[in-house]
Amino acid sequence: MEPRIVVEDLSVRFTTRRGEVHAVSHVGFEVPRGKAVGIVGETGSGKSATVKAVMGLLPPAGRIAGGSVRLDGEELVGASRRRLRQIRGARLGFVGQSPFAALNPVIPIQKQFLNALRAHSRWSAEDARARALAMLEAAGIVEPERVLKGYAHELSGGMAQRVVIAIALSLGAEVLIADEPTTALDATVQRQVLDTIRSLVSESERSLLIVTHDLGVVAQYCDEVVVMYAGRVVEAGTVEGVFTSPAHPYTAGLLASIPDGNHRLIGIPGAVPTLFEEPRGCTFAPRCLHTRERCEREEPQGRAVGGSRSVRCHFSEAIREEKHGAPVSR
Amino acid sequence: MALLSLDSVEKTFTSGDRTRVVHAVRNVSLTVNRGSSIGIIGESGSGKSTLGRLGVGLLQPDEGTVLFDGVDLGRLSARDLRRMRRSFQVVFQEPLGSLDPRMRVASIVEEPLVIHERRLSKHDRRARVREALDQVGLAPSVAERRPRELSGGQQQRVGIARAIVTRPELLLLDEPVSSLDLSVRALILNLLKDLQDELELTYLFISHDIETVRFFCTETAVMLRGSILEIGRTAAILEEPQHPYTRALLSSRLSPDPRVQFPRYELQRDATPTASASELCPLVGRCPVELPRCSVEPVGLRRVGGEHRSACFHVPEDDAA
Repeated sequence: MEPRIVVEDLSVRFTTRRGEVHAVSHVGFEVPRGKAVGIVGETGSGKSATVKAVMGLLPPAGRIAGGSVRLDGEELVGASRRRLRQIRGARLGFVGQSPFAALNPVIPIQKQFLNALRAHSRWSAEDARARALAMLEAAGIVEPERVLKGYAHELSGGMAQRVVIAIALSLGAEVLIADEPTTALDATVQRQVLDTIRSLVSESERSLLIVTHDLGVVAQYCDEVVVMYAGRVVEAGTVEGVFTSPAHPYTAGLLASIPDGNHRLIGIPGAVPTLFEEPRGCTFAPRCLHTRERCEREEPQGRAVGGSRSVRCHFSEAIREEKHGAPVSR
Repeated sequence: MALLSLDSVEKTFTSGDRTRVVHAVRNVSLTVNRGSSIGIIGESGSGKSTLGRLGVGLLQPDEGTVLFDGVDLGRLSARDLRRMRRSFQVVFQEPLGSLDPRMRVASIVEEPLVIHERRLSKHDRRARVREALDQVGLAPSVAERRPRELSGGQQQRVGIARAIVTRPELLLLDEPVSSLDLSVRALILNLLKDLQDELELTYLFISHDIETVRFFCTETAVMLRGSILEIGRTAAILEEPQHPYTRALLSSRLSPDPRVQFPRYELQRDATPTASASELCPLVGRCPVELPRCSVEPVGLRRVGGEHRSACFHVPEDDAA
């Protein structure tokens, strides 16, 4: 079966006072039906620009410079604004980082909920209300009646995010895109909200695309992972495969940066490059522990390394062998 | 040897229109031994940052005392308190927000010396700045740059250099790596650990992340709504958590290893919080093992074993105390 979302060769540029930023370069990935895919990356990786481009929500300074985004076979790059508006909400649900930015503070929740429903199809007042109550309940809201009558400021962060999730899925969207959905929430609430998202998605063969900087969120809630660095996909594959045996030195460095016990951390020296021009060589080379001459000369392309795994590194296999064998000097 | 001790410290804040009173820190006692590192963990609004600020004299407690090296900070004149400040410095969460954008790095790091060590010659101050920059792993050329020209990791290194340039004994680290990317965070954590060993520093480390606390804190205090609910050696807290809130915090961790799942321990969701003026356990209404007495009488810290204490009625009452 064709994946829900197919992104191919997507490039996004931003115009700034200092010139054009190549925020996303030739990114490709798929979100299969019924699966959860996580995009992980640090600041400047292009992960947010990628999902904004997928949703047709790039800010005015940004533009899609090339590539394709298909939802169930329909091309979204170049689609009219009107068509994109129809698709967003009805077929692509979105949950952002801050529920209090998504909800209007001076309008009752009920009115916002019904506005969202009626923007896409005709609903009688009773039907819309029934739908809203059912969705809130499914999203784990204990007293949906009371919440519907109230305002956003009366809710805790976790409850507010549940309301946003309920609205996002109330029109039966096949895909939920969640951009750092629990980053602003307290730790004890994060797991519950992620459980809710996961169960709402998996019970109806929906697909989930989560964008996050938190490797734990992806490890625990996604089936597949796309690792981004400096606007590129550096590694992609199943969560199990990528997280237990990373093929790209950047992925390995990220995993070795997480405190786990009190032994020394590895970290990655240096900083993310500015993306004003297409680099010559590998964008990660200046920070890589394994850089060789070829890395600085020739940019690696994504290539398959067994199963569904792909990696953008010339020396992935050699580096992994080094790790398991004797250390090799640079 | 206690370097810092807080005894029955209280702090409340009143909203501008005087309609709301927030009890930010309630009856907290805490001892930080010289050369040790204690982590204060809690969610937003738990009072952990307020507690840290009380510990370094940036805030004055309403009740209770704060002793630094035996000296009661509350009894010092403003001048004497300022004089003592060279001994306890702060590293803030937002490096960029805590650095003056117009100043060059050299002047930022030099400033505490201008304030605290007036007898130093300009030449000696410069030497100390160079030394501090070197200690935090910054190249001498960084001295001439301004904060905005630096990466997030470099900015936080400048913040750390500014904190250690007066050769303090205690550092308050208030979420020093929370705003940094993972790969950079690891390097800063390593640096802080190395500096502690090299300079024999004592750390009061405030964080919402228990794994970060475990990385270099020998002891941990868990806070919720102004109270310490559990305190003890970090290993004990992680391995034998007693308070239901601590258990919930530990179970909220998401392992980066897909094969590892932490056991679930959930609090009741969306329960209406108890009034903030309450002296009762802050978990009342959300606790999965709540007892009838929890909503009637306050519970203090009870000894679990050794220095490990927990404010929960499920811990048997001390025989001694």
